[in-house]
Amino acid sequence: MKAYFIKSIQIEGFRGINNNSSPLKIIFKPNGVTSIFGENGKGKSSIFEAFVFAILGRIIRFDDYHSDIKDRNSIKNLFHASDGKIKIEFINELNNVIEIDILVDANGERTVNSTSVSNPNLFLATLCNKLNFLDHKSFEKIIISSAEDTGKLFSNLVGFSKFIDIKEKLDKISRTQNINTDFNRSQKEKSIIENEKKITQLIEQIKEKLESVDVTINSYDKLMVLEIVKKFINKSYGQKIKKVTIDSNINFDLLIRNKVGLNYEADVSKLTELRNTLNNTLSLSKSVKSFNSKTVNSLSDKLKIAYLEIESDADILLGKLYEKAIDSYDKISEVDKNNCILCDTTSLNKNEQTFYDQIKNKIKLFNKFKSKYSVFYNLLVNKIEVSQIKTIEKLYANDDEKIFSELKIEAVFFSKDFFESNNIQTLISAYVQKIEISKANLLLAISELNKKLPPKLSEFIELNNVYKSIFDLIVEIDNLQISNNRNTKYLFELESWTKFIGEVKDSYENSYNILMDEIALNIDSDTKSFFKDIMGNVEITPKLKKDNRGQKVNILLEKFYSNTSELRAAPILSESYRNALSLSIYFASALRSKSLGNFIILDDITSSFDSGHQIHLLELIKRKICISSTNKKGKQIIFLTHDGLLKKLLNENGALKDWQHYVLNSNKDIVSISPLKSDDLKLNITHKINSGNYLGSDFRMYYEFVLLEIIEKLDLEVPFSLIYNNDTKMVSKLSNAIHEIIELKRLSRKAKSVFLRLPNKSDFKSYVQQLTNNLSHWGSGREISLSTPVLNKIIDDIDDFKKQFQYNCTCPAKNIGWVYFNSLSSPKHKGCNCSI
Amino acid sequence: MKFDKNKNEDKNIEILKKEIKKTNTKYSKVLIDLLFSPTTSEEFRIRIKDSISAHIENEIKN
Repeated sequence: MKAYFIKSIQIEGFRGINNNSSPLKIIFKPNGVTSIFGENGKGKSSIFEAFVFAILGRIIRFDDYHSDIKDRNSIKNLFHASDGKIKIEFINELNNVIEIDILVDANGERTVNSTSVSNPNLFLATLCNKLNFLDHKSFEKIIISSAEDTGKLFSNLVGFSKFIDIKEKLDKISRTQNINTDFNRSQKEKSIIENEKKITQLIEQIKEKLESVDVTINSYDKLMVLEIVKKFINKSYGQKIKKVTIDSNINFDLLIRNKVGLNYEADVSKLTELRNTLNNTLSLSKSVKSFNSKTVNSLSDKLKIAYLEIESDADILLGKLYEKAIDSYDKISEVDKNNCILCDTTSLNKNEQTFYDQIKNKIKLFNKFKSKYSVFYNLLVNKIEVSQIKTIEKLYANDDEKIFSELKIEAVFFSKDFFESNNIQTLISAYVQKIEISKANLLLAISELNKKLPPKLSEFIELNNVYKSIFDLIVEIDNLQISNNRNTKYLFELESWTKFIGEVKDSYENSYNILMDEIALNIDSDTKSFFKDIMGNVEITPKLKKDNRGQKVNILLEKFYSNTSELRAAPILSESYRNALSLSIYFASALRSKSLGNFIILDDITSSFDSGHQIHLLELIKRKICISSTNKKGKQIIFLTHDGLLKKLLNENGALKDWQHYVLNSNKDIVSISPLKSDDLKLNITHKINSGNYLGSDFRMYYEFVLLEIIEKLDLEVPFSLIYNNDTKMVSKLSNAIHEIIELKRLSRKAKSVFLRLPNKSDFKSYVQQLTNNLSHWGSGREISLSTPVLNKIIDDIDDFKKQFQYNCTCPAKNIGWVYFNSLSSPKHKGCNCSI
Repeated sequence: MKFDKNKNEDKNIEILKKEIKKTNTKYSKVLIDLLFSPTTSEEFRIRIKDSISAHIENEIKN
């Protein structure tokens, strides 16, 4: 896949750019920097947002806006009649051009069309992400993000965003807690253990049952026990069960019914019922006896303790009333307690306390009682439940005797002699007696019924019931074992999956870590270098430290003046240093981006720097960030700024080969741009001279600009390092370089007619000397006192020098006036018939 | 498995796919089918849960 650059953009009816029927068109340098200077309100940010909206479908700054003020109606220009339009041309290294047309409707919705690609939305989605765009708000966030987010930023910047998704996905499914939840692992494990315990208990029960019929087994073997049951059935009922499995579904009730006949069936059923009732009665008898005198005394003591703090039952009632009264009183905040009769002590002779305080004390006591009473009540309720007193009352007590089943915490509090007055112990004894009578009656009924049944038959029923229980226990054990086998197999398979996914995750994470370690190391190295480029030789060295595992990257300082222990960068650095570090990290990462969109659009990133550091930053962009013939791994840079301090430098850079500079103009509804030419600069300086507002540096700037323009227009092979220099001797260095190139070409006998026109060695020297002398007035820092004609003469001298590299085109078709030679070898422009 | 910082992400993801395939377990295909589909991590977790549960149930039956 080839990387894409931005070739051009056309904007109409978007944000602050109306340009009805006359779209603002900007052509960019794919292999270099395009800078656009625009004062506030000229439409600079609208250009930035047009790119972001067209490519990502978003307005980045809206991310931080409250939903109430995210007014998408403002995305289309409010004064533009039809839909807004943005057209972007992308070009790749093979010169294939992709055109994307975006329409913006009144609701701020985007429609994407293209005649170049079948799926323009997909093209834009895969082209780049929000990190191809950087404004001052975004980069400030880099350094204050969490270590995790910084790591993600790196992955995104270097084009490994899918890797983060994969990591998150593998993390999610291999986390023990998630596996437990998703596959019920813990429940299954717990179930196996509980079933095993239950099986052991059931086996013991089988052994006991077998012993009761004089059969002893050492260990449980299902088939063996089934064989015993089978023998009993064969012997007792004459039925042969061929297949000895629990699926035989032996119906013992049916077998015995058929055996004993219909006459006995009702009695047998009755006997079973009586036996069950007897068992329940015995259980109740045991329970009620546990509610003995010791328990009663203990509860009685607890109740008495609860009453100790209060004086009488009346206090309890009063406490309840006071509580409500005080609550109502406190709710009336306006009451002036100093003038309130309740708060007045003079009306009370007894003590110093106000009536209000006395009531509060009562309530305090009442609350203490309530708390102690609550302990008593809970104990009592617990005992009643354990002893099954409620069941006993339900079965045996008449309405007058029922006390415990009527208990409610909300009821009027029991008096302190609750136990004495109700004679609980007598009551419990009466219950015991009633149960004993019931028990005796049941035993008698069972005995009578047994007498009715033939003795052997009675014994046989007992025996049948034992084998029935044994068979039921076998079935229960079998079901538990089936469940356990199933769960064991499930866990085995799950373990196999867990092991597999764990290995994949570990292997992936190791490889991902190694990759990210390498990337972080490279980014760290570049960050250090870029930070130094922007801030100069300060005694501060940043460090990007990646955690051994995971993706967290910490932004630290490994050196901060005399301190050499690692410090977190964000809290300690000043704003400009923080921004320099953020930009360094951003650029270091962005240069490694594998994103298809090989461009970075920068909006107002220099605002927080002073002029010196702004120049350093621009130099860094020129030399190391921007793509050029000597920095092929760089990115196309689109640089938008309103910074007046950079105006001069940008004007100069605009004459460079790899740099295109525009100035934004706006007139009511029309935003336009113009590439800066030396003629524009001259017009500006002449105006300044005539109005007396000129500066010495204006002349130097103009001269430098002309020299750079000559190098650019004639395509002179001046050393790259010389062009990208910004020292005070630039004028002489550039003029010497131009001179040397011309002489070199002249000597190499590649002389063309143009050389006759170019100044010879001594003329060149003379021109340069004259111009340098003119400029030295300001170079030496002396005050100037030159008249307007003299100042204009200096400009004319520069123009004369410039004309040595130009010819006056008078072709009828073109008639464009003075133009630079096309090159030294081919001076005339294409189709020009002028004689030079 | 070794990812290459000089290769783009898609090529590195192919390396990962091949590595998972190489493990040649009964779960390789399930994972490959779901891991690289465009879903959120939570949706992916649910789909894995459903697929693997069904897979295990099938294994138990057989």
